[in-house]
Amino acid sequence: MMRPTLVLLALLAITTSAWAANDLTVSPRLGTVLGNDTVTIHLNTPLVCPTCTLPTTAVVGFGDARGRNVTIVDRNTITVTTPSHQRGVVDVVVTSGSLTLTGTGQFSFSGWGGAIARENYEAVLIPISVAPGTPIPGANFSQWISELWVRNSASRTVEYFLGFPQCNQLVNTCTGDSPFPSILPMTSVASAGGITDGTLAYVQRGGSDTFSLSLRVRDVSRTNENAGTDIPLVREEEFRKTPIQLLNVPIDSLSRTSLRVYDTEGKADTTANVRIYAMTGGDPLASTKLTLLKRGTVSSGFTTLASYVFISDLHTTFPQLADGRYRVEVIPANFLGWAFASSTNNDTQLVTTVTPQ
Amino acid sequence: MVRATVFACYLLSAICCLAADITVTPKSGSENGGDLVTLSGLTACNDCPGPTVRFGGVFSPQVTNLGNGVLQAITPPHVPGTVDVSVDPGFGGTVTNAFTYVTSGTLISANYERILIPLSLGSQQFPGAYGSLWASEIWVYNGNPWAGEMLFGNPDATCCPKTLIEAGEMRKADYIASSLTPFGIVAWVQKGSSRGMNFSLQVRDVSRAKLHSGTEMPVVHESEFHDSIDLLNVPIEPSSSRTALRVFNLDAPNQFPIRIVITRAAGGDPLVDDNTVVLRIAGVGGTVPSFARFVSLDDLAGRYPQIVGVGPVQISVSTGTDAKVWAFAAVTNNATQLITTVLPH
Repeated sequence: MMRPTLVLLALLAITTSAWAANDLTVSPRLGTVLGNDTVTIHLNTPLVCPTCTLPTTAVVGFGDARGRNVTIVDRNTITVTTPSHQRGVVDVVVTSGSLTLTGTGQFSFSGWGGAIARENYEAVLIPISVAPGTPIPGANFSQWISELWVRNSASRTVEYFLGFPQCNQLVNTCTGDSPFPSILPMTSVASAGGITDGTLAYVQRGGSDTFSLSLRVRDVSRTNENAGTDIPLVREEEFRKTPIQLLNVPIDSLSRTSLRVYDTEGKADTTANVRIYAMTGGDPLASTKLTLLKRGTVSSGFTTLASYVFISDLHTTFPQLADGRYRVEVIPANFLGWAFASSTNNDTQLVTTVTPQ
Repeated sequence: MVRATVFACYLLSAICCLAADITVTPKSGSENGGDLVTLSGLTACNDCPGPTVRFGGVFSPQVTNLGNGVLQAITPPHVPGTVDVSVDPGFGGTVTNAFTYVTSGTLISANYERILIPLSLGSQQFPGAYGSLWASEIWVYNGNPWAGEMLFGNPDATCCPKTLIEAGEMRKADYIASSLTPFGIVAWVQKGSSRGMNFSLQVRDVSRAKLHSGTEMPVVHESEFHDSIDLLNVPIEPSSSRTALRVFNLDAPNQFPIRIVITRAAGGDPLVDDNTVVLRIAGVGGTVPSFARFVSLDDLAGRYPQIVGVGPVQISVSTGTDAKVWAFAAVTNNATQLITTVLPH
């Protein structure tokens, strides 16, 4: 014979189960308390019949807040931008005409110190070190600095941080109640130094279209001769597992041409094959296998540093190559990668980049 | 487990062949193949191994299972005409007369992605300031394991390049140019091939080849155009260089104004808020559209003297409409003629 308390608990459990509505599923099921994440809602019951016209709009509630930018993709699918909301688990309710569909406890809001969903953020590779302050001495009396700027042109705050957003107990309560590190609307920021080559930054996808970055390296001892060289900031969609092609790369005795290869997943040491071809085609004139070293950590899918390898001069590495222009092919060993070459003139220290286009 | 899955897929196939409502998009493409076709309304079989798709009995060189009953396939070459599209076990059956192959070089604009070549001097060399002699080089390499088409309108009617670029072919493509303008040239690459079609564009002062290897210019894919573009940390130093702003649009039907806002690099009140600048078509002619809409402000400091002496600036270019633009700044040193580009990232 069950005790009354247990019977009551069992009844409560059954009742709760009976009340839980599962008319829809949400992906991802986790977002920031700041809002501005894009989620997809799959409706188990279609909004309209197969031959009916799709409704132009619907209302999507997340707990007691309403989502923005509702788009009806098809009769079973809606995309919506999450509202800001205090930390916690909420019901998602879709209302369209007389139809109301509910997903009980389908979405969670979380902040700094709490859970975070990697798919809500776009990775951006910062290929070289950021050192805007004290110049770094180079060859032929060159003095190098590099400057990274970021700008949020949106009318809403956008989360942006380097690597996994570790919680700093000294300045943050780490309860999951506050947004992750972010850039205010219509704000430009010059980054401080100390950012290592191959660092991965993350931009909230809901604001990444209106989020801009700029990285320039220059020799401040020659500012009268040149304003520097633009270095690409590489968005996640440009990372690739297929061979990376660098065309028309100068390899000659007038300059040193370096090659940098990044594994943006950064989980372990890995390898990449490099083959160098004449611009007219044919078999490879030179090849080598590179080992990319793991340097950082991966937490909840966020990588701090890409695994990385650097060849300082292709001309000395492959002395069999005559002065000229070449196609350099980098073949990742099953990792999401990126690579670029840079040619620095021995006398003038002027830099030419060759990036995959 | 795999065998069980395959068996399940075959079973599903038998059912779905009777019930499937498969759509094929687009419904036509080049006889050379290389087009990206989406098949939807198939039986959802997310774990089925190795889906294959045939066009007129010829296997697609690459099929991607997007899940939820959607496949994407690259078309194989086939003689012109209408063919059946067949999907293998687990996904559906055969859709008769579902795809039409057309003659090579026919522009079906929905099948192509436009590629902006911001600057091309062709095979010519042009004298510039301070004894400079400018040249540009465009290279294209097809890294796909299938041939792909790149269409160029050839408005000068001076050459007859092949539209087809074979798998693994490297091509010097200086023919993508026009005597009408060096700016805003457009080429068209099949969407099914554009990811693996690699470009290189460099501009350099050949009179100073021993001092510098040149400046890389971006080749801009259609997807990189936006309704606003921000250029950050742009140097404005008229005592040593001139800074130009160049803005492009691919598809507005007519000329239209843009808005240019310039602030200090760190933001603040606008130093410039100009909506009088108009994008105009860079040129006309060609067998397919060959020119972007374009404007060049060759000397920002001369046009907007209020930005001189404030240090680097931030430039925002927007349209205020659905029209999309792409823009970059070029800083040319007065003495050395060396170019620094500032690009949107």
